[in-house]
Amino acid sequence: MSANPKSILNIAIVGLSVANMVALRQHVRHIIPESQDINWANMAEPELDLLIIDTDFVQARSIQKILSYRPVPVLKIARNSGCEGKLIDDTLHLPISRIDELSAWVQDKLLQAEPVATAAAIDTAPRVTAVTPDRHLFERLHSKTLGMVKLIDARGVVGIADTNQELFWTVDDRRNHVTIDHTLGLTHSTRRDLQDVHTMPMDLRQWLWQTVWHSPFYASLVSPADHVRLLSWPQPAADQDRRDVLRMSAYLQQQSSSIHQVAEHTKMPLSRVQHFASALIAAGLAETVPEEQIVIAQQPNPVKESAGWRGLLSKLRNQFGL
Amino acid sequence: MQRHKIVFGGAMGAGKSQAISSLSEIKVLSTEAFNTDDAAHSKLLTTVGIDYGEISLDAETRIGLYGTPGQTRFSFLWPIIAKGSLGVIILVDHTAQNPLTDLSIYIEAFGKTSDNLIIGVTHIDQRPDRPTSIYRDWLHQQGRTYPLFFIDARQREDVLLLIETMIASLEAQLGSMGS
Repeated sequence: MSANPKSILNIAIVGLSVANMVALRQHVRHIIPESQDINWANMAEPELDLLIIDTDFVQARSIQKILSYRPVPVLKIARNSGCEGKLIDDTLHLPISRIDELSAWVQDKLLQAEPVATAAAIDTAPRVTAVTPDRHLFERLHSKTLGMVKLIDARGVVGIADTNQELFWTVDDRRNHVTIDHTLGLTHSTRRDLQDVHTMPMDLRQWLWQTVWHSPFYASLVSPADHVRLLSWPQPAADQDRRDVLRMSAYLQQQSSSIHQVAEHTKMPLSRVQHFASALIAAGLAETVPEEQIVIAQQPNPVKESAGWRGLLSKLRNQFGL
Repeated sequence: MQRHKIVFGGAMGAGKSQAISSLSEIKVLSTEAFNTDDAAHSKLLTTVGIDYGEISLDAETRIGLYGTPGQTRFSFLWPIIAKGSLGVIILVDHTAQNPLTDLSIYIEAFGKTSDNLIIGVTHIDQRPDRPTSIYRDWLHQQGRTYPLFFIDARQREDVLLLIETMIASLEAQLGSMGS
């Protein structure tokens, strides 16, 4: 047995409403030590550590089949059972009023086998959970016909998007935390939900770009060999990333290129360029194109190639602290 | 003495004078008059000639910051001012009656004399009902990928975003991407 607990726990939630799913994710996240990441996995995850499932779905043939050859702890969720707030025989009866019973159950069924780590053994550095990139989710956000949708991740509602108008409203407590995690999902929304969000909308694509760029997840939606065509410039924040973002954008505006080529020409790490391009793709500010469709752009003003111009631009940067 | 210029174009009230003021080392020279075209914009004073600001990079190098008059009757001046500039920053007032028409007029006018156009859309907060995607969609329809940002022209940091974009674009043209 390993001396350390598993660094990532794979937990699947099946059959719950979005509100109950979000609430349960928050409770479970609160119970499991910070030193362990949670991958909110699909039921099909081969290394599943815990299944949380609505009682109505437990007897489904597909679920029973999976459980028959892959025994994992199962927490059943019941509603309107008359035992509200209690956890009896592996069944949690909603709504949750106290989390001590749930905490004890998780400790017993999920964490018990895990040896207690010493303080020295706990790596408190933030970890990035490996996720399978899901471009489809972002593509859906760029469908004008989708309309109003609510974006949700493990920490709760992120905000409301109007895909037709390409507007986005954040919930107030997420306004200063421009990140999402790998559990990001969509659910239907209406204008009525706008009562709970910040009143000033943002540009959906620019918000998506900023968010994916500042999140460690979804950094590999494109591969280093992919060729990318810039459709619209991302708007960087006034931080230390701005120079790099503008340099990569300017290069891509000149001509569509592979991630490898951008990294080579800008002398930036491949992983950084890949993350940048992934954020562009997620935001719909760029598209991947087959290599054979790439047209080498002619320089609009080749006479500018001179040391004098380089010196001038360097002075301008210095003048403004850029 | 080397003299270069950066040009700020755009309709009346888009924020050209404010943008130049936020960068200039000298008091901005402007020729303002009472606005008599209140159908186009409600601001009290407007520039009828050229705004001029300046920054010194060293004893031998100065950058002139030129703001063009917004009224279309002065459009004959725009390409003359923009000729030979490092770049043209086009400011578009999001609250204007038809901001896309404004954008097309200025791109048409300045695109002939400058390879380096940067677009800043201002007053976004005053028309939250008007989606910002209209500019992106319009540029896409025209097959253009000019840098397009949503800014507050009163904020120096926002204006510097436009300036840094102009520099990055010139560097990309030079092929001098390495730091």
